[in-house]
Amino acid sequence: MDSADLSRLADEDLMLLVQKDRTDAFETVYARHGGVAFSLAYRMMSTRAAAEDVTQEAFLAMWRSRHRYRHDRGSVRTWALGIVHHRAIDALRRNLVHDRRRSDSEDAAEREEAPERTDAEVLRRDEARAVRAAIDDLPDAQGKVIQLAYFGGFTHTEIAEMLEMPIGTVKGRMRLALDKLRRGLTEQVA
Amino acid sequence: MTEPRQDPQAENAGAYVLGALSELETRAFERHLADCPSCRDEVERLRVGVDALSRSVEQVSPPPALRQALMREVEADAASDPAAATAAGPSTRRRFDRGLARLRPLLAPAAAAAVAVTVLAAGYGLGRVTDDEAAPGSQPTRTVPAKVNREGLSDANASLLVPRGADRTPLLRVQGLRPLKDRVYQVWIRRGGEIVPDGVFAVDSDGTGVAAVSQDLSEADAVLVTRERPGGAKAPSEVPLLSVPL
Repeated sequence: MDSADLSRLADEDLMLLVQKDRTDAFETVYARHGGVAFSLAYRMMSTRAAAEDVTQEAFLAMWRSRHRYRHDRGSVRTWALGIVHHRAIDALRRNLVHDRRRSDSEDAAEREEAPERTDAEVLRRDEARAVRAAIDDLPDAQGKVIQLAYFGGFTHTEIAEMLEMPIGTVKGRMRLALDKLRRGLTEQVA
Repeated sequence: MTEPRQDPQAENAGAYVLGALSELETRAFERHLADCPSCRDEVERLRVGVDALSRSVEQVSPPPALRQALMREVEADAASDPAAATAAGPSTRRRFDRGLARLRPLLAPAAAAAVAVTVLAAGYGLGRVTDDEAAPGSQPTRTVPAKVNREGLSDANASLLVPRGADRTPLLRVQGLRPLKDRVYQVWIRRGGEIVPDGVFAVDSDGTGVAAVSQDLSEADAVLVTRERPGGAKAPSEVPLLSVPL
């Protein structure tokens, strides 16, 4: 069966097939969203092996919870990234490893930034750059809190301790930063 | 409803969407969300920012082996789930049998893979099988050509690709159909005396299209295509343009 056929279908149509237990439709979902999911996992876990584990676990969890997916609750991509993020945080907290330093060999040989082969990959990359620009625009304190929370998997209590900041301030900065990101991105689109 | 400023849980919304609450705090906040529309709204607003963060990372490629490993697990899961597909054997071997798949057209006589079609009666013609082989490494697939039922559609042809394994998706490939304005093509399954709606599809400007069949075809006797209103209909409004006998 030519996978190019199924790749013509929109996410919602693929998910209807997935919910009818069609594994080929699920493979197309992975083909479409696996790259961005793996990229997030790699950013959080720092090693390819751990990122592969997290990504595989996340997609398997998606398959097993396929009947709970509802299109009106968010896109397939958002769903996938949410599960990856959750699994990565679990893994980070389980391992109690928050050392984000990579080994030299990991840095040099294994990072392999995705080549810009397809329109979808170019779009992914452009979108990533636009959001990174919006994050860079955040005040330092807000940006730091967001980085530690979202990518580092630290709890607000841990962040308060690390930055020697009251917990209320940490929580407040989280809300402000997310709100600012949302407004910044909305303005970009406009 | 508590005002956001007075609601002590409201300050947790940002930490919640970032995943920065502890497990106990997360559960408490989720219980709170069930009763607090303003916190739910706040969470939805802040999720936009989190969604953006998830896509901001440097994009790297996963190894091909990850896809294979994942699909082995998914197919094993599908095979072991009594509520899911039953014919798991060929599909779980799919990743390991790398020989060329062969198409076995249903109606062809004992010889060749190419399908010789016969015009059955005035106004009818059998669609030609499309000329592509299954990609190496894919499952064996049965290809069934469609009958084209209307004059003026002489350029149209279609075939139904029916894979082995109920966890694989039958696909109807069409060529030579006119793109429609304000209507869609709809797929139907005829089973016994009943005609049941399946999905709708559109064709590209070159007249080609693909429709995935979501229903099980094991007891179907035909797949049909008609033109219907957007969103599809519950019953066909015209004689089928295409019919695939099974």
